[in-house]
Amino acid sequence: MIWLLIFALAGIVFLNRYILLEPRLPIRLPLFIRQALQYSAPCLLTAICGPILLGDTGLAGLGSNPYTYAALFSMGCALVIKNMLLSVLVSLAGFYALLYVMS
Amino acid sequence: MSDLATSQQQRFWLGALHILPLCLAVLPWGVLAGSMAVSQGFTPLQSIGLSVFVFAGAAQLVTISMVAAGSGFIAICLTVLVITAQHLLYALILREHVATLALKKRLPVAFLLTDELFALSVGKRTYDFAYLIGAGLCFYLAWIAFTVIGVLLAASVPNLADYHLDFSIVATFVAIVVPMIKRLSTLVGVVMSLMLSLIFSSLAVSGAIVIAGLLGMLCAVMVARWRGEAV
Repeated sequence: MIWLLIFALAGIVFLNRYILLEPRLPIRLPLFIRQALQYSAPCLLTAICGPILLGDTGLAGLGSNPYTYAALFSMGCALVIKNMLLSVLVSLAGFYALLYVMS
Repeated sequence: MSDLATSQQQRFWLGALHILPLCLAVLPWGVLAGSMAVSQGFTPLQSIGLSVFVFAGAAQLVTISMVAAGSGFIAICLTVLVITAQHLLYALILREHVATLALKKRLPVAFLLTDELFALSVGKRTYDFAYLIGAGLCFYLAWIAFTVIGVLLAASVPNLADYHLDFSIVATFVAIVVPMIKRLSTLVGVVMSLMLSLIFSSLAVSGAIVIAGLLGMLCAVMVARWRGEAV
């Protein structure tokens, strides 16, 4: 099942990369689609964080979940630290410090 | 003839050389992609397979976390389809240079067309095949090597689930997304995506992530049009 998924995804990603390099294909995506695609990365990456933040506790547990506070801390890091990698490292350090304090 | 071959070889290696800094920059992400996959239950071979066949960092992390969250096959495919759709724009921009190449040259360029290769090639006036392949191939091999390192690291640590490595996805995505928020429309899209994702996921809606993300994108476009933001 996982292998099937991997090959399906490989096909999908390749299609996205190749399709507009095909000379026989007439181009021009509709404006609405092009406009929406500009937001695909921020919106989908954010949506993926949802279930991770929820963990096993659900919506009611968000207030007592270290993930919630660590995510807020990460946002602060990203705003202050302009280097992406450094920002991730600092927020991870904050997360583990928080886990240690809350446990 | 031999001159032509030499200069092609030179441009191949020049491409490889030029992408080296970008290879280094993705070292942590490659290690993360490998170790996350193992920690979320992929076998070592499957974890490396993701890098070898899919070869798209964000899509790989998305896949790993959605599989771990128990998302369905279709939902994962749909999310990856949308998340890698920025390649459509890259291809659109490279099209006038690459579409004139023969099929057997277009296919490898397409396979190797990552964010990094696009970033490297978009500033250049000439997009020659040898240069693109040299850079793309170098980046591809580096990505696989970093994934293998991540897999080996993860496989050598017992009880990996106790380390809460899944937060590194949140930390990474926050660091990627926050700098992207330069307009109100993006902010609204991101906030909507997060709230809807939390609500749908807590209600165990299937396809929660992709529905939340697409609705967030829709809200962002509506705000952009309402405010008359430039496309």
